[in-house]
Amino acid sequence: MGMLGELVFNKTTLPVLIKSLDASMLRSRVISNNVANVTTPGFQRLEVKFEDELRTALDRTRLRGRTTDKKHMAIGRKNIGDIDAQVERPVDPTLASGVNNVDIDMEMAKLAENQIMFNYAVKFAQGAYRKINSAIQAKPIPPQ
Amino acid sequence: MGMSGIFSGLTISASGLRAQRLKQNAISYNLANAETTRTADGGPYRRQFVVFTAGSDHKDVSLVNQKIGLHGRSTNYSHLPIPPRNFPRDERFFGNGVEVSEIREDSRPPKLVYDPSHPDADENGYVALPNINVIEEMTDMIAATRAHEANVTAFNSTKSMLMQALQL
Repeated sequence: MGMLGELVFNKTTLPVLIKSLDASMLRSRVISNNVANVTTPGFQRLEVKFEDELRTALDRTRLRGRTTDKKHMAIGRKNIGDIDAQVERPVDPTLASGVNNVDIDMEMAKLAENQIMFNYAVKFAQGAYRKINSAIQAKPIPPQ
Repeated sequence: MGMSGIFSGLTISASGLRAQRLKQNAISYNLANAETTRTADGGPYRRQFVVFTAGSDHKDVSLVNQKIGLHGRSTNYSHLPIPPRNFPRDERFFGNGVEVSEIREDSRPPKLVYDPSHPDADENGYVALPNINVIEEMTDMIAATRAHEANVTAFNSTKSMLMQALQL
């Protein structure tokens, strides 16, 4: 991306939205996988970790070390571009479904929550793009 | 089957739908043959059941929860954390739906019922009936139906998210 692109798109809002859209999509797969395996004996449910890392990355009270060389170790909070949703397998030996640790009600609730979060991020991103567009065209933001 | 690509969520749910449908088929087959005393292999019909296995991208299973690079330990509140790097997304494992690995015959012995008039009764008057418990099949059927519905819900949720993404 050129200088102008950096200025227009690399503010905080859009990168955060894009990262959370990514995380929601991954989470939808992981939940689908848990649901598909609800009757598989010995299956261990997976989980997506994202929000905590995002919160840390956005916390401006924390110091951020700048790396100017490939061999530098990153210290302090990460850039938003460097955070990624992670799939984890929580240690949870309960037998919520009778044959494994998938609690179907929990998964359904998370599925609904995830879908709403995704829709929210889409709407928010639509708004952000609309603003950029109206600035480029020097016109007021059109009503939705 | 590669699990990257935007439609993989739908594929995962579809594998769950397929697995539950196969289970439902096996249950129907069992119920239909609940009193079948003659089979091609001889003896009464034997209960069949499906065995599920969690599908996985074989190359990636060991990478779950693994991090690469140095992980600095912070022993004091004012220390700056040195976080490890995570594996890039494409190499990470997030499961691959469910697979029906086999359809197996139940090893429980056949039910012996005293009925000397039955053509398949043995010399003591006992008939070997299939090892099927109808109540058990019915409860399994309800479980399979509910699991199928849960997969439908997950499928629709993923589908609606993809449709939303098109409106960006």
